[in-house]
Amino acid sequence: MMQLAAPLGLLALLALIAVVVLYSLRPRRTEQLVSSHRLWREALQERRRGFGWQRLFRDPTLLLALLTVTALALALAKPEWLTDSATTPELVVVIDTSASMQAAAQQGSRFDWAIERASELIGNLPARGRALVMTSSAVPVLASAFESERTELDRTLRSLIPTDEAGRPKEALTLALSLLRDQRSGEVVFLTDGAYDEPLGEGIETGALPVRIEQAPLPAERLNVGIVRFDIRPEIGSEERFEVLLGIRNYGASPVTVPSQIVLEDRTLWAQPVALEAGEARTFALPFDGQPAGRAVAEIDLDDDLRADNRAYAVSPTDERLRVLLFGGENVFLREVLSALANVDVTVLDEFRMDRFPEQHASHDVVVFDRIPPPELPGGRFFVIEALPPELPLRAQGWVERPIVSGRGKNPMVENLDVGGLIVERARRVIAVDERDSRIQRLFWADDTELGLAFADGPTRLIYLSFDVARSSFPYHAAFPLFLQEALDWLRPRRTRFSPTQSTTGESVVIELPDSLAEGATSLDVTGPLGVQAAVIRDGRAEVTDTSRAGFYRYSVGEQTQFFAANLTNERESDLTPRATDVGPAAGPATNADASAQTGASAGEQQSSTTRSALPLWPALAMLGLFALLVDWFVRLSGRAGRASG
Amino acid sequence: MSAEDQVDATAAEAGPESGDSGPSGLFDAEFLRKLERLELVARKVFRGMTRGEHATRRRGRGLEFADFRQYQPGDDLRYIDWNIFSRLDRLFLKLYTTEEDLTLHIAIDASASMAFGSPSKFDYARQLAASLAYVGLNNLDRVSVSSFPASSGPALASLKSRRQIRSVLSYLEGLTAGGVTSLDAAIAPGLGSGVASRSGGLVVVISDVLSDEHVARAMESIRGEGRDAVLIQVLAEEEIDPPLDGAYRLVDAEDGTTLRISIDEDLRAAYQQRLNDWLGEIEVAATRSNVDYVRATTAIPFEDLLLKYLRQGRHWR
Repeated sequence: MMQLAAPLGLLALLALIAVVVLYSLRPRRTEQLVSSHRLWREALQERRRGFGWQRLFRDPTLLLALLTVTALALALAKPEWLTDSATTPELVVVIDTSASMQAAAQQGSRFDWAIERASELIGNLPARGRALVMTSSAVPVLASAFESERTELDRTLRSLIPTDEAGRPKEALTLALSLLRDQRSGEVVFLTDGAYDEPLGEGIETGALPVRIEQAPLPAERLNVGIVRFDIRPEIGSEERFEVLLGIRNYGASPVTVPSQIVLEDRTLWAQPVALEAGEARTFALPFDGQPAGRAVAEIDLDDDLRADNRAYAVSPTDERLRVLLFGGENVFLREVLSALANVDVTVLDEFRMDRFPEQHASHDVVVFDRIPPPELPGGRFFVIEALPPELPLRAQGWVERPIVSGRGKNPMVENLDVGGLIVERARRVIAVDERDSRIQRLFWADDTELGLAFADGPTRLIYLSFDVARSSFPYHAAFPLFLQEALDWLRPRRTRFSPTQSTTGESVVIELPDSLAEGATSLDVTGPLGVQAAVIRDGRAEVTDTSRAGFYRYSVGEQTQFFAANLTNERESDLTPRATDVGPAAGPATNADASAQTGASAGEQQSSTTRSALPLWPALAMLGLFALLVDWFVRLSGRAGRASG
Repeated sequence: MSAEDQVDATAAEAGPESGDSGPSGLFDAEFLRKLERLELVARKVFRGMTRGEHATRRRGRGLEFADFRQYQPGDDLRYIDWNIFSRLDRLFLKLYTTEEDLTLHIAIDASASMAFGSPSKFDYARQLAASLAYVGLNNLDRVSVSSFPASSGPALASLKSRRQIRSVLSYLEGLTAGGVTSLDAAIAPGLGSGVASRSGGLVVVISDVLSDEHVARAMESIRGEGRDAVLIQVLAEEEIDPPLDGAYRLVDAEDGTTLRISIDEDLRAAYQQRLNDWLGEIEVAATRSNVDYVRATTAIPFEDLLLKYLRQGRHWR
């Protein structure tokens, strides 16, 4: 059976009239004298008796022109050859693998029920029926392709595990429906516990495809208490005191007392039973002394429906100390102020030895040359006082006695510096080789010379003071420690600028890596509760994608081992109560699996049906038209050549 | 007299009055030479055909002893040679020949269609007519030459003696092709001055017969009563195989009517088929009417045509 997808294209057949009219138009006739045209007339009359069809068949070029127009006009109408073929409906089984599916069902866990039910649905497929298995948690994941092999599908089902992630069923159903978009029959079955809030009926285009939601049978009595918050943070207004935040909620219908504790590394920070009324949530802010360095675990000891939210994890950021190597420690002020800075470990060496410098440089973050001429410096972070480093694009032209500080840049290093009151005995007269050199940032200067410069070129950062700090009033300025602190912060090499410590299960974690480690590396091994995964490194960042399990995730950056924690800490996901669900015109309220089993209504039990496919014919017609055109062209050329040679 | 002398004599007889005897003329020296050769052949043919076989049924002036024959019962006793009987005691008849005048009438189609072709059919027809007239005059035939339609000019009647060839050439040279004609309408008036009113004789009609639709009637009118008739149909090569292909406005040479036509290979084939059919109809009609039919094209030299016809010797007896 054929149909025309664009019947208006047939209007192009009107071009046939034009072809015939054009064909019948004759060029100017040549006048030719003949002895008598009687015989010509008789011959013409005889031929005209068979005019029309016979003439058409006698004239191939007219035939070909008509064929070309007809074929192209039909092609424009986009005819399609319709065929019906038997098809079997396809089934998409969406299994809820969010954290709540670990909770108990009437028998076993809800997840166990979903796996069994999925296996049943697949087993009920007709002989050539196909099914696809996908999971719904923080992101939908296709666990298989459309498959008719039952054993293969069962193997897929058995390989699935629930996650500690909060579910987003709408995304999963949208994906499931899109997989069936080109099919005329099929069904989506969502196996869930119904413990989600977003109304699935909104924003999902189901079309004619049914979506059925089957809910796990739940126990009548439910005991559910979960940790909904766990965090370590500095106390408000304090940089030195910390507190632990713990939130616990009772989702059950009865009051409950749960033993709770918080352990930091091997130290129990807090332990006490917590009494909660039905539905009550309590938050504890627990201060503690000292640096909360390390990993902390909060735990409630309760055998409830969902154990995934009975533990929570936190990582306190480790102390990143800056290792400073000071060559020339005669300047007491400099030495003392550096040592007094927070998170700075200073090593002072009076003597500079070139043979040992590379090792020393490698084991320190910043090297300070106090009036000691630096060698040709490798890439790194340096603070140079008075002696001119060869790397700097500066010209030294003697000395300036008692330079008068006349200006200050906008850099934070000198933001609080009162340059007007700065007294300098003597400073090197240095000027930039190229005033427009963008690598150099002026910090403060005198009329005749630069007094302080910041130089950045690739991995090298350098701060240069052109005067002896000890022979200036600089150390006496209140801003001096701040200047040094800012300078060292600017010089601090990037180790892990961003070290994540907390994350939510199911969300990716991005770890920024130092340049020295990111260069050349393609992946970073991260060990979590489920084992080692390779986080792909791109643009100096490693992305950890699998955080489906709550717990600690460990990775190494250089010689340092770092951690971050992933927690469920999702109040909605911890709430195991089934909420209202409805999807599309074919779905009704969520039904229990028992009820759905009784009705036996499933895609697997649908009979085969026919599906209509349309084979487009326009390409063949277009080719025919073009072929006819080519033949017509060839015939005309041949005719002209024949007349020319005749 | 040698053949060359005879040619020179013919040329002399033809003289300047016969028209342009230069090399480009219709009846130039070359033509005249051809004429003479033709006459020589014709003479031989006539001699072979007439000696001893031609028995005239007429008495009259100019009887000439020809031969003896043994008496057969029923022969006319008046012709018994008694001298032979007295000597041989056997009966023999004396045979005589009569130089009977063969009246030859040549009618040439001078309609506009005869001007067609290269060379034109009209020139060819006139050369044919001149040749026939020359042969006839040299054989002491009485020759008349006319053209049709009647408007093309008066006839040249009852010429006798070879010296009259000059008049014939002059007459033919003076003819022009034009007008419309048909065979049946042209023959009777054209022949009315002499031939048609007498029985016997030979009528030779030279025409293209292209425009004549009633060919059977035309053949009857040619045949007439008591005379022999020959129809020489002259066609041009361009009529047999027209080199036309494309869109034309064909103009009829005779009546000037036009025909819009697009000629392709198919139509050309149809025309040729129609032509062949028409020629066949003419031949059938001629045969039925006992008219001798000769088809010629301007591609065949006229002398070859005549020689072939004379050697057949159907009418010169």
